[in-house]
Amino acid sequence: MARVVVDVMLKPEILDPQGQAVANALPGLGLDGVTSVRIGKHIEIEFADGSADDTLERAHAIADRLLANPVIEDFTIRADDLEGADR
Amino acid sequence: MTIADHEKPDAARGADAAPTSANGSAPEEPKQTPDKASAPQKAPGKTASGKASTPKSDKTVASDKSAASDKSAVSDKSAASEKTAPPAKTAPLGKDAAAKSAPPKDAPAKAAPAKASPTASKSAPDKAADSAKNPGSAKPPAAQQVGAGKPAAVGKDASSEVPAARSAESTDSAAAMSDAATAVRPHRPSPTPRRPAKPTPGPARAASASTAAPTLAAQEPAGASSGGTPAPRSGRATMVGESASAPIEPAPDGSSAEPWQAGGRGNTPPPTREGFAGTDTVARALSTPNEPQPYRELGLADDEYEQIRSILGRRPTDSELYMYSIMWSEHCSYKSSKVHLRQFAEKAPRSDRLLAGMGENAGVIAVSDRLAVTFKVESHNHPSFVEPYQGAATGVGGIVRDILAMGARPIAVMDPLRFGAIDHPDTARLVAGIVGGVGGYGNCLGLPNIGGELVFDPCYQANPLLNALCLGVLPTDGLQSKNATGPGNVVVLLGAKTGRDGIGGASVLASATFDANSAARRPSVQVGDPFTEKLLIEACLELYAANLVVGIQDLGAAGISCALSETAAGAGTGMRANLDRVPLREPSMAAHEILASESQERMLLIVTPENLKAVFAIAEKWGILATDIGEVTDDGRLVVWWHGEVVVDVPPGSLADDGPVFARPMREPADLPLLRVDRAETLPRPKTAEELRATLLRMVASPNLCDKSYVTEQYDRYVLGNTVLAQPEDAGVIRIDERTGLGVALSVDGNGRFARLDPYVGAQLALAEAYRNVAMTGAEPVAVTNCLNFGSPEDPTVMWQFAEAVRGLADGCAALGIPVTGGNVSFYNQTGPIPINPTPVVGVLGVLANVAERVPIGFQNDGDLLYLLGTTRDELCGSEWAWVEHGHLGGEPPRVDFAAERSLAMTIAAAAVRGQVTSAHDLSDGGLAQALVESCLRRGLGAMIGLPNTVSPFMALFSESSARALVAVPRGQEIAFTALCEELGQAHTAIGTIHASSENLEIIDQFTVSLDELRAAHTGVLERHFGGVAASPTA
Amino acid sequence: MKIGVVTFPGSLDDGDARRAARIAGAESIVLWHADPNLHGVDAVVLPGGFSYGDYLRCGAIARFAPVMSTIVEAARVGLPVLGICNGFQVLCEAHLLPGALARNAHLHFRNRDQRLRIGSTASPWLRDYADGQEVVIPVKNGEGRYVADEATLDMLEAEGRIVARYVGENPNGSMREIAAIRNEAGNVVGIMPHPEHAVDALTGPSVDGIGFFTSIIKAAVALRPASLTGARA
Repeated sequence: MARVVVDVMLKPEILDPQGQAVANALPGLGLDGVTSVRIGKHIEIEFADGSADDTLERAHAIADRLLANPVIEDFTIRADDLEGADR
Repeated sequence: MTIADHEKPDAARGADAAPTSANGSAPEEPKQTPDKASAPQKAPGKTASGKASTPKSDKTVASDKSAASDKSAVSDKSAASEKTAPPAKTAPLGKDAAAKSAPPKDAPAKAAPAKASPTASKSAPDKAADSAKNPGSAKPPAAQQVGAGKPAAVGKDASSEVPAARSAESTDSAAAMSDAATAVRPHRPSPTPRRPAKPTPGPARAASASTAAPTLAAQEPAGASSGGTPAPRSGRATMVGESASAPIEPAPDGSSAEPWQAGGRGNTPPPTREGFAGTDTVARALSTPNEPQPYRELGLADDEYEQIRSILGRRPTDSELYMYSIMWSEHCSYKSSKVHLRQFAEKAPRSDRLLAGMGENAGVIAVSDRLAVTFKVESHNHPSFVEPYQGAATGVGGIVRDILAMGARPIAVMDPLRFGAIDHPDTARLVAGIVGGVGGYGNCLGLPNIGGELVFDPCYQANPLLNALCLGVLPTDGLQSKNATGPGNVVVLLGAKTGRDGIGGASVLASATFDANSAARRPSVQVGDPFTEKLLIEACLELYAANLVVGIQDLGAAGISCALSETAAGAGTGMRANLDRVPLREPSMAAHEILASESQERMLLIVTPENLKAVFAIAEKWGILATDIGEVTDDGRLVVWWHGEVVVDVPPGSLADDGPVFARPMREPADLPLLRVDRAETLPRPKTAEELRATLLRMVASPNLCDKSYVTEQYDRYVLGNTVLAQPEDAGVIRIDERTGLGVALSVDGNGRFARLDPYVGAQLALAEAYRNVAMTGAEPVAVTNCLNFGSPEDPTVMWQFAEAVRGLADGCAALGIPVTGGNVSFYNQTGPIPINPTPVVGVLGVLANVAERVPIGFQNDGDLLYLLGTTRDELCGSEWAWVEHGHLGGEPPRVDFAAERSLAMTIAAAAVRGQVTSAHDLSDGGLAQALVESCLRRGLGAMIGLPNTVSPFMALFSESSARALVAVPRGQEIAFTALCEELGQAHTAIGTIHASSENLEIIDQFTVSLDELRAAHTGVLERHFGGVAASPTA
Repeated sequence: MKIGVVTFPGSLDDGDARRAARIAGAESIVLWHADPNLHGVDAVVLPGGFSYGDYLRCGAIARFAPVMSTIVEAARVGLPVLGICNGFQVLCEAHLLPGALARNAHLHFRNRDQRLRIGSTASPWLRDYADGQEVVIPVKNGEGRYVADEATLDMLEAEGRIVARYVGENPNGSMREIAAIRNEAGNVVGIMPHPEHAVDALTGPSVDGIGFFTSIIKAAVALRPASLTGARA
């Protein structure tokens, strides 16, 4: 079984109200020194089978077509526990 | 002249803009790359400037909460962004990634983009291919460079994608500019400046500057050259960093905190740049009068550019050029529609209620001695296609701020929506996103959604229409001005920080007719933050109540450019603004980007110096930023400073009012005569009672007639506790005075099919329907708003449709005696050569003296008598029946009879007050059949109906003749009611009774259908199509 | 009798809750999120809305507002607190009530006139209802699906702490159709539907919601000294 992790984040220039709200709340908890918080989605995809290449490619397609909205989001993909990924 | 100034159409591109060059990012990009490239050098400078300001950081307040994070924003953010940039560039994989990451900081702007350009258009597949070819190889380096815990990026790494796209665009624009450089010669030598802005550094100096080059030079003075430099950094020149913790006193008078007070700019190193890098100042413009400028790429025509040069007496700076290109775009200037929209004022009936009309952000109508309401409908069509959730959300946010700017508390929204065919593959995405966005923003803002429209028609495929209406209430003496009066008054920017949202949105996004390349032209999407808007609303209302505001304007299309120029032009004053003060989300923004940014949730205030502290205190209470960015002057110039230099010096009226006006060619569509003889009355009709029954069941289950609660349940209709009627009622009714029960009724309606067949009549039918819907509640209709959705004005047949619709609407309003108080035009709703059906959407507002007397659509009591008011004719052309059953659109739309509409409205109003009607439902799409079904199902009461014999049973059920209604009259009131009808000359026919116990709709001598069967057909249709798709704000 | 209604940044139904309190006959007091002083109120309503935008988790940030520290303390010793919708979410985040409110199963915001069955009247907020009574009260939320582990759900059932359940279609997928719960003492109630929107026949689907407000007035009168001193209701 192969697992691929996809992280979806708003593009840097896109406003992130969610992260902003969290950042603004932190001083109220006495947690200072934070200048920016950006919030994204962490998605874990498990494949029944497939080579490293193949799963990354499939995960890429999944991320590109469904998980991320390319208009405002970017994503990163990494293989998790995937032997051969570093080939 | 000013009639339409504030109608802000979606569409924008000038007639002569080459589609391929409609790239809003064009001018910024060349700066972008060098900026980034020089990051390490620049960062200290910026930080220094930011720090310099800190000690006297009195001009920005923020919430206690945001204090800490904001505090170091200037330095830390810039540092952060500069730091992250390099890894971003090196992280990605593949050969294009290598290209992207390759350019070192000093790489020429053109080098990187040139290679990146093949991937310019969001080349996911390319990247997929690349990463597939070489997935592993990239991982180690990426991991190293991005740092611990950050895995290798395959494909669109967050930070890599943006630079890639940018550089790609900058390639294009660089190319475009060099084209321009050769192709576009200045048409004449720059004349002597008519009015040199400030003592200008001589051309000689600027000239030497242009050879001195380094990118930084232009910005250096900001911090580095601080010595005797004007240094906006001291004292008042602060922004992002300061917050609640900072003292909020204004700078001591007489300090030379303002760049314009510093006097000697002589120390300022000369402005300079290579290519387009650096800042183009007025001084530089004077010294390089013949420098070619990419005005065509910005959508300006040759003669428009010449006009700008003539106004300024020199070539415009980059910032000025950008401002003119946006402010003179279709979107902001109404250059194609102005000549027609004048009719709304010229033909307007007199109204004592009108406190503010066209030309303001929204019309204001007095509804009592004490209270007034304001309302307006606006479009956000194109953005809603590109990014449906955020496009719709920011559409709602924008119209809400328009209402807020009038001095009103926003109290309700409505959303007329139009989509392609219900089963088109893209429709589910758009419905989920747009409905989600309307709900997500409106719900979070706490505004009840009280009605709207949901229409499916293939003509809206790839051109969905998101129109949004907002209603506000204010004291009659609480009207706010948008004028920047009182030289010496302070200009305050209130609300969110400024980022690269929707840059070029006004001039590029909205105007670009969608085609295969539209993805490549996408500017940054605006993201809505309803929470901040909620705080902004509360803060503004508190400012109004404390009488602290001289003038106020919302920031929408064209952002700060528009707000500064309109407020100054409105007052006939001038203004000085310092962009260094504007709190930025992205510190690397250039002057023209700050001027053009369409970041949401911002307002511009004009405040007296004495009140500044109180204004800041209120902003702080609500946790939003308030920043003094400049002052009102008496010299009639809008002067904008940036890094100690003047980058804009123009007469504000030239931006706001003096844009071009076109009388575009018009021609009736060639197919129209043929279309109009193809009448629907010739189509095969159901012949037997059984066929009639089956037709009814298909009709009530069709996309445009089915139950809409799947959508309306996603909206909060209860919040604020004043919603008396909401969808699916004919009109929304909102109580505005709990003590007296005073309320208003609102309906928005449009019918693109009727308008396609005859735009003049179609617009009038939309007006008639909205008027009738409002009247059904018992309200007196008093005012009109409109959103005119059309194809490209460059198509003479579209322009003809537009002109006819405007003429029809203006004539109709005159006939009904209610004025148009404001509205919006949206052009360029077309994909390829085929425009949408012309779709004028009309909103009518009515007044209800006591909302307790409102009349609902649902049958209430067993035994009540049912009357059909009005006259039914053989009118099926453009009808829902012709469309659903035959996919037919042809013939002439139903006739309009405004006298009959007025009579109907008077009848319902009089009967409502006297308690003679328990329900009233207008007849429109789907005819009497649809009205009967909706009235029965609303509360589950059956009815027994004897159809009038003046027309066939089929025609009685499905004709869409206008000026008709179905009303229920309690037993015992029928004589009084019919006497009332006689008295008012209202045609009426008794057609049956409410039969609660039967649980059937029985059409005598025809068929019977149970309410269960009707319900099963009528409901669940939208769930079946869209139920599986949910949208949420991304991330 | 004073009912305090907290206004957080982003509270939306605070005005409605105050109106409902007034209609029921109480004096309504505005409690500001940044002010820890409860101004001598006899009961507190945490209203609906999107406090702080609800961007992280609903109620997650509001829970740390200065006023909440006072309310949490007072609630532990008997101050009647009613959390409606977002207020319910805040109470769960503040651990005054068990469980959590998750995103609706169908993933949509849903606003609907909802039938509920009152399951427990052992609370000062529920005196005017009968066990098993059916009421119609609007529900409107995007994250109203009550979730808790099985043990907690069993405990709530066993202790009769499920104040109301959805009847008919479950509007959000809540576990065991839970619409409202109370704490062990009964003074703290969290409810997802909006009783404050069902207090006036002109603007609501019913007047079934007014009972929450009339109940607390009666309870406060009966228990006045106790509640003022913070004893258990």
